[in-house]
Amino acid sequence: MHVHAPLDHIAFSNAWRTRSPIDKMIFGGGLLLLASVLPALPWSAAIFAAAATAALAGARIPVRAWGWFLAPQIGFLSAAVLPLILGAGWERAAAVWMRGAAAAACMTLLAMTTPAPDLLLAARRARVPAVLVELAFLVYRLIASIWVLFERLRLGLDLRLRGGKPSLRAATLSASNLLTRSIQTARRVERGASLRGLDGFPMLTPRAETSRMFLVSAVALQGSLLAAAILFRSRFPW
Amino acid sequence: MVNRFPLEARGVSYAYAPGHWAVRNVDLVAPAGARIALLGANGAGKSTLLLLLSGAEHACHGEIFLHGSQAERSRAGLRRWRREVGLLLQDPEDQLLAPTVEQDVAFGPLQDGVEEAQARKLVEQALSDMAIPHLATRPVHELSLGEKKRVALAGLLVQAPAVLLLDEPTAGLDPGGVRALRETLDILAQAGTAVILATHDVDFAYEWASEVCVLFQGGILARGGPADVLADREMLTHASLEPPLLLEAAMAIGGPPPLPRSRAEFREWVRPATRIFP
Repeated sequence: MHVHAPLDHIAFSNAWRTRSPIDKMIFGGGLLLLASVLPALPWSAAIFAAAATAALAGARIPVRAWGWFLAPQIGFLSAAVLPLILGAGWERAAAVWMRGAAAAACMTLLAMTTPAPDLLLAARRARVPAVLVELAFLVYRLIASIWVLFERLRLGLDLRLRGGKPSLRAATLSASNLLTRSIQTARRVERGASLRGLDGFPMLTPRAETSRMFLVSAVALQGSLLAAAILFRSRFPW
Repeated sequence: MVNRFPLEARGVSYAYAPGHWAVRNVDLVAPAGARIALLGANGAGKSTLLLLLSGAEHACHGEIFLHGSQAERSRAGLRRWRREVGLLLQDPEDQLLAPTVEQDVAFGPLQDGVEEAQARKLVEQALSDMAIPHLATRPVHELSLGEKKRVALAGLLVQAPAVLLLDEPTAGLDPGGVRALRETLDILAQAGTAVILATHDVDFAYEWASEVCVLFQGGILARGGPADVLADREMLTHASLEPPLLLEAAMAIGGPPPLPRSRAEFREWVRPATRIFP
C-alpha cells in the first residue's frame, strides 16, 4: 500500500533530492523561459529532450512515474489545441502543442525533483511573507496526514468489497467518512501544535548549497540552445 | 521556593461535561528520576490526567505545581510549562508539525530562540540519542509508527524537559521497539528526568515502573510499588486489568522473595527451584 503521495515520495527520494532548489529552479526555469521564446520547431523538442534527460538520467526518476505524471498534462494540452487546428491551422496548433509539452516537461522536472517543503523554504528566503509560508507548511503537513488517512480508508473499503468495484453509495459513505476523519485529524494536529507551543514556525536553513559546476553546466546548456537558435535563425525563423 | 519535585498535582479534577468526571481528586508527586506508571482500562482517565499535567487542559479543581511553584496559565506560564513538561501523545502523528524529521526536532529549540547553529547541534544529539540520525532528512509522513514515536520523543527530549509524560507509549510497537523504548526511558530516569506514562500494558509497567497508580473511573484506586499493587488480583479485576504474567507465574511457583521483575530475573529466580530452564 502506498502510504504517501507518489509525487511527494519521488520528490523526496530522487538523485537530485540533496541538490539546492535554486540550482533546480535555474535549470528548469531557464529551460522554461527558452521554451516560451524560441521557435517551437525544433527547439521545443530539444528542450523537451533536455528536461526528459535531466529527469530520467540525472535525477533517476523511474520512466513509468515520469510518464504517469506527464501524460495527463499532455492529454490536457492536446485537448486544448484541438480547437486551434480549426481556428488557426495545424501549424500554429502544433507549435502551441510543442511549446506546451516542453514547458510541461520543465515543470515536471522541477516538481518531481524538489519536495514542496524545499520550495517553501526557498520562498521564505525569497522574502515571501512568513505567515504565508508557515501556513503553507502546516497545510502541507495536514495534507500528508489526510493522505495517509485516505489510503487507510481506501484499503478498508477494498478489503470489505473483496476487490469488487465500490457502489456509488459505498464511495459516498467513504468520502463522508474521510471528511469527518479529516476534521478530527485537523483538530488533533491543532492540539499537538498547541502542546508544542506553536507560535510562529521557525525553520532550519536548508543544508544544500548551490553547486557552481551544476549552475555553469545549466547555463552552458541553455546558452548553447540560444546560440544554436540564433545561428539557425534563417532556417528556423523566430 | 524550589523543592525536589519537578511536578506535583494536588486534588486535580476534570469533567468533560457537568457531572461526568474524567479525573477525580487526583494527587500525584513526581520527584526527579521517578518512574510512574498510570494503569487503567480504557476510559479510566489516564490520558485526561496526562493532558492536565501537561497544561493542555485546565483542571476544574485542584492545583499543579512545577518545581514547587504553582503552574500558571498565562502565555509565559504555559510556555514555561511546556518547556518543563513534555507530553508524547498516543498517536505521534498528532504532534509532528514540520515536513521533515530534522525540521520537526528543531522546532522546539528554534521556537525558544536558540541560535540555528546551536539548534542543529541539539537536533543531531537528540537524533543520535534516539538512534535515528539516518532519518534526519526523511519526510515524517513516510515513517513507520515506531519511527514516528522516536521522532516525536526526540522533539521533546531536545528541550531537556524535567518531566516526560507518555500516553500509551508501547501501543503499536513491536517487541524490539518496546525494548528500545524501555532503554531510552531508563537512561532518562537515571539522568534525573521524571517519567510518567499511562498504559494498560501491565507487563511493561511491572517491569519498568518504580511506582504504579491504578486509575478507575477517574480516581486513583491503588498506588504503591509494582509488586505490591499488581499482586492484588481482586483489585485489578475490579479495574478491568489483569496481573502481569511474570508476577502471576512467580506467585504460582511460590519461590522466595524478591519476586522477579523481568524475564532475565525470572530465569535466574526459577532455575534453582525447578530446573526447568537448563
